[in-house]
Amino acid sequence: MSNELENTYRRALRWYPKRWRAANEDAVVGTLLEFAEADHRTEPAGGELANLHRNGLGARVGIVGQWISPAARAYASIFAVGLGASISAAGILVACWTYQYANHVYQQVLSVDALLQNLSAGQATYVFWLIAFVACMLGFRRVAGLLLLASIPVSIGWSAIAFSLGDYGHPSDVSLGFLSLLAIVAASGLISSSRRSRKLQFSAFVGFALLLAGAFWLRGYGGGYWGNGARNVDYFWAPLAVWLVFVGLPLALTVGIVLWRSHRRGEAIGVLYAAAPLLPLALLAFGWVNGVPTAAEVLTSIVVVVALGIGILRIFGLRIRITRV
Amino acid sequence: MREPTFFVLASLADGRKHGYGIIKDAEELSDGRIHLKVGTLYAALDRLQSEGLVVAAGDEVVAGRLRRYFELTEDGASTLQAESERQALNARRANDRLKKRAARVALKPVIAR
Repeated sequence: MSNELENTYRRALRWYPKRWRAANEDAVVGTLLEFAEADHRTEPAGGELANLHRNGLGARVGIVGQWISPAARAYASIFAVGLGASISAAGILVACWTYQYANHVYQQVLSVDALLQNLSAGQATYVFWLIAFVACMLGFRRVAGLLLLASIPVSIGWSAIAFSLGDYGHPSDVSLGFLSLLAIVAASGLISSSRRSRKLQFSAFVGFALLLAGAFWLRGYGGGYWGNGARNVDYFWAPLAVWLVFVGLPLALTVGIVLWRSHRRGEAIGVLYAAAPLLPLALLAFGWVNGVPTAAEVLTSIVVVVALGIGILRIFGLRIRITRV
Repeated sequence: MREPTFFVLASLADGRKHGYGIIKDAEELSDGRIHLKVGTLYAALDRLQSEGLVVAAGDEVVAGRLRRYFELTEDGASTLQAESERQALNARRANDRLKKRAARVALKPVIAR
């Protein structure tokens, strides 16, 4: 068998990742040459090289997928679906209130007319998220995944058009980045539509909705800014960003680091993957209305982070022990 | 389970095999319908290994070439068993319906008369 054929095969295998090649190249080349010998060929068979190229690319993508296990992606997705859907529900409510207060029509809690007349790229994104959440609850996980992924080009495209037309009624790049990353995390882990996963998604939605309601109760969303208690969409993201950045990110980092040091790398990557969409919000939190959050908020957040961190670590069966060295 | 995966697992059911052996065996088991390309086979083996259904079972060098052997795990055997039973059940149900159809077709001329 000619060395030339072997070299051709080895060249084709460069499409595979280096780590994969180190483990498998000789075995694959051996199999390819065995077939060539049986067929009395001195050249690759039709479609053989294209097949290697395609599978090589697939292995590269697969390795990225292997970094985050399906279980980790599924749990990150539950977190993302709950968070995204609750934010969308709250976002739509606040958008309607903004319209109603602006137009002095206070009697309605939620008006479809108000939503349609006030429809922007941001609200369109929320609508995508809410329909995707309903699809999740009904067990249509593929439809939900498609809707979540479709929300990204729709929101970015719509915002770009609005921006180019000089319309300010579009989401900021920070909220677009956050919701887009959240949609990717949510869609990438919609692996199961079992009753248990739907229950967890719903629980996450209710949990985050309660947090958002708490922010409303504390006169968030601009409630403390105007005398009449009106909420404004312009202030919608501020309390969210503060909570998510000062509670969510440190919590995820703490849990992720402890899991990593306990050699539970898959779970650590899963936790950090779930928290990745929160990163863009850090920019918004620090640029929050005339400066950074108050010391009281930061201190409260630290206490909540520590308490939640200890609780979550106990769920994973880990305990923090401080020892004197 | 897709048909090529089924035949890869079926090929390993009677003992360990190397890449060339699996492809030839899968072709024979499927009456020539399934001819896996080498790249496709190794992609399937990667996936089956990560799912714990197949494991590498030693390397041998024959005529200067590396042969890597693979074998079915207990999980792989039970997955194959479950899939075989599912397919057998499907085939039995389809056959029952076909028998009923054949009986109905056979009765038709009698009823018409």
